[in-house]
Amino acid sequence: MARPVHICVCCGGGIFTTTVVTEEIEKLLKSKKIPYQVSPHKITEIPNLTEADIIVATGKTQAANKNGAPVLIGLPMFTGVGKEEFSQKLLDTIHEVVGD
Amino acid sequence: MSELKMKTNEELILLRQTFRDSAQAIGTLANLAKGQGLVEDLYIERIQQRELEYPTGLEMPVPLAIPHIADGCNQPFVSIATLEKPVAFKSMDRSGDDVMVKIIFLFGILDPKSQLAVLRRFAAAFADKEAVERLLAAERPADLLRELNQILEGLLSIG
Repeated sequence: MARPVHICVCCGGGIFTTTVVTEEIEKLLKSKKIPYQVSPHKITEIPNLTEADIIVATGKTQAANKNGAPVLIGLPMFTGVGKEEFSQKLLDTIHEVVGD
Repeated sequence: MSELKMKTNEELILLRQTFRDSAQAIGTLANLAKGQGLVEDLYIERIQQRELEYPTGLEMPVPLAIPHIADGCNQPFVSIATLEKPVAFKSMDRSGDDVMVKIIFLFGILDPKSQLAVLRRFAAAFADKEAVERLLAAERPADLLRELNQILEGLLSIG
């Protein structure tokens, strides 16, 4: 069985969008029975998030993670626009990163 | 567990406003909140800074902006302005694009986890073109509030 995937959700202030996006991601992963850990952060923390398997940011950022964790733009989870595509992309990335 | 409800009232609702720019719009609403003791000066300063660094314009079916922070906030609240003339806000996706916003929701959020229910309803409402258009069409603050509370399924504390 795959180990839990650790997803760090990052936005500007770490409050509104992070909270809603985190909730949507948790719903998705629960429905697919994927073990996970999700934590909220600010976009400024992206380079140093050593615990992250995947980083979901709510806005474009040049920041790259020191460990090479992929950074996805998760705004669709907040707005609902393009949510299906993003959900699929997230699932594919999880599969790549954690295996199955 | 007691959850501090998100507060609003007619005095926090401005209709058919004309603002020079997003900073003036944010400043005006933030001052309304300060006048009611909902925020301190720290909020006034930080909310402008935040918008510069992490803008909150959203290109939804009805373009809108959701400036929000926790700093200097005493109580969770929402203050709303509908605009006579759209005002440019930078997009939240940080592409540098302008969003010509027609309605602004200014929030003070203390503990997002305890506000999760109402924040989620807001997020869903933002994507609902008809719901936002009903808010835009309100002729009086009381009407907008009634519409909003319906959309949010009674989760606001009005008064």
